[in-house]
Formats: sequence, C-alpha cells, structure tokens
Amino acid sequence: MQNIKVLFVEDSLTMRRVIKNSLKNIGFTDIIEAENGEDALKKIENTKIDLVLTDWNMPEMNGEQLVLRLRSMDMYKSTPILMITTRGLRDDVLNAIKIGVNGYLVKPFDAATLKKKLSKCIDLN
Amino acid sequence: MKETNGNKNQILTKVDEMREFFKFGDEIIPFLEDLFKFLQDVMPIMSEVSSSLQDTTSKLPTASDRIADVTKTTEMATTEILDNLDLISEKLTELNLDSDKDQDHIDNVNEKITNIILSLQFQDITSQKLEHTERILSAIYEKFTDLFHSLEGLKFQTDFGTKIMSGLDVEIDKKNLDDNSKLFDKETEDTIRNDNSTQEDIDSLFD
Repeated sequence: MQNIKVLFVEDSLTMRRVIKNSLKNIGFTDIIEAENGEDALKKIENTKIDLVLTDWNMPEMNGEQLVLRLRSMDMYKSTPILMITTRGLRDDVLNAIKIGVNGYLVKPFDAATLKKKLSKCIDLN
Repeated sequence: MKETNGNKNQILTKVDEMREFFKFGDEIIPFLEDLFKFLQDVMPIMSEVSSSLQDTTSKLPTASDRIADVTKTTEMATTEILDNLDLISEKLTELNLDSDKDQDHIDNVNEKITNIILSLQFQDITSQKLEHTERILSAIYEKFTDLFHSLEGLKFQTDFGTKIMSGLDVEIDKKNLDDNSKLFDKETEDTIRNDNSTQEDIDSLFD
C-alpha cells in the first residue's frame, strides 16, 4: 500500500490521531490529513488522491459538501470515498450513497471494521 | 311640523342609545374593577416568574461556556494520552528481542495500545453530544432574550401596557425576590471557578 495516497478529513484532533494510527497499522504510509472540506481541497490541489476518508459534521465545508465537490471533478469521479461519522440514521446513509460515497462507517469503530470497510473500497493486498 | 317631529324622534333615539351605553357602563364597571383586582393579585406572581426566568436565562451563557471548557479539557487530556501511547510504541520498537516469545509479548502490547487508541474515540463522540446540548442552550437563551425584549417593547407601546408594567414594578415584593434570587444562585452555584488556587496555595493552608 506504499503507492496509495490517502486523504482523511476530520475536524476533531483526537479522531485525526485515531484514524492516522489506524491507517498506519493497516499499512498506509502516504497519508494527508485535513481539518475540513476547504482545507482538504487546498491540500490536494497539486496532487492526486487514491482514497478519501471523511467525517460528515465539520465546520467551513462539511463531508457532504466535500464529496459533492470531489465528485464534480473529473479526476475524482470514481475515487473511493469512505464516510466516517457519528450520524447513523438510515436517511443519512441513503443520502451519502446518493451523493456518491462508496462506504460508510459509524463511530466508534474498531480496527477490524475499518479494515473491512477499506477493503471493500480499495485493494489492500 | 312633520320635520320637527322627525328631529325630536332622532334626538330621543340618541338619548336612548346614550342611556343604553351608560347602562352598559354601569354593568361593565364591576367587571373592570374585578379585572384590575385580579391583575393586582397576579402581578407579584408574574414579576416573580419573570425575575426567576431572567435569573435562569442569565446562567445559560455560563453553562454553555462550561460545556465548551469540558470539550477542550477532554481533548487536551486525550491528546496527552495519545502522545504517551505513541511514545510507548516507539520504545517497544527499539527493544532488542531475544526470542519469538518476546516478539509475541511486544505484538500483544501493541495490540492493546491500538485498542486504547481506538477507545479514545469516545472523546469526539461525547464532544459532539455536548456541542448539541450547547446549541440547545444557546437556542433557549435566544428565545428567552427575545421574549424579554418583547415584554420591554410592550411597556412603551401602549398606555395599557405601560400601566401593567408600572403596576408590576410597584407590586414587586423586593425582599421576596431577593431571597429567591439568592436561593437560585446557591442552587446553581458554580463550583468550578476560574480563579482556582494553585496546589501550593492549598497545601500551604494545611501547614
């Protein structure tokens, strides 16, 4: 997974640390972190991302808005996006699917579940 | 002659109308007296309720700040825990391992560290719940503030409102209100103060 560039977007400092640690344990090494959608778009301006993990509730630009922006760009039309959020309502999940999210993980999650969700989005071998 | 009779009838009709009006006035006066008596009785209660609500409302921003403080404090504590866990992981990788058994132990400890890190997600989840509570408190505060402004507006907009509000001021039982306010302050006393003594200051009190 050395060649997979991952972007994860999360406003909580704690969750950023938790997710980064989990991604490293799974084997990802090329990781870009951002505090919100706006920050994420700035950080990926000059690079191509292979996998996106994003929270939903965030200030400035939330996860839903970020997904819509990414999906409107040709280079991110089919990039795997995993939403990691505390919002677990059926309607929320349906909305996420509608806007083009590939996977949905409700917090709190464990390492095995995260790996399982990621393996459905991207080849981890 | 016919015209004079017509005028006379018109005047009589008007007199009858006026008589009916005064008769209505006579009937309505006791009702109005009762109404004002009722208002006089109810005013102290209204003012007390209003004062209690204002007391409660004034506490809401402080409660809201406290919630934000909790979030900040738990985030700082969690960061410290994560820093220490990272440090432990680093130290573990530096260890010289003599056997597969040692490696198993290290792997086991690393797994436990990962589990601890994952369980720290509680901080973000509780923060979001607190944030929600904070938003509710802010919304309640805004509603009450709007309500009080509306009541203040009423005071100056109509004569009736002015009389009611001045009646409220007169009827307030000052001592009773002060007592209630003190009781409310005691019940909602802020035990976590910003002007905390240092541990040294506290220790010196025991010397």
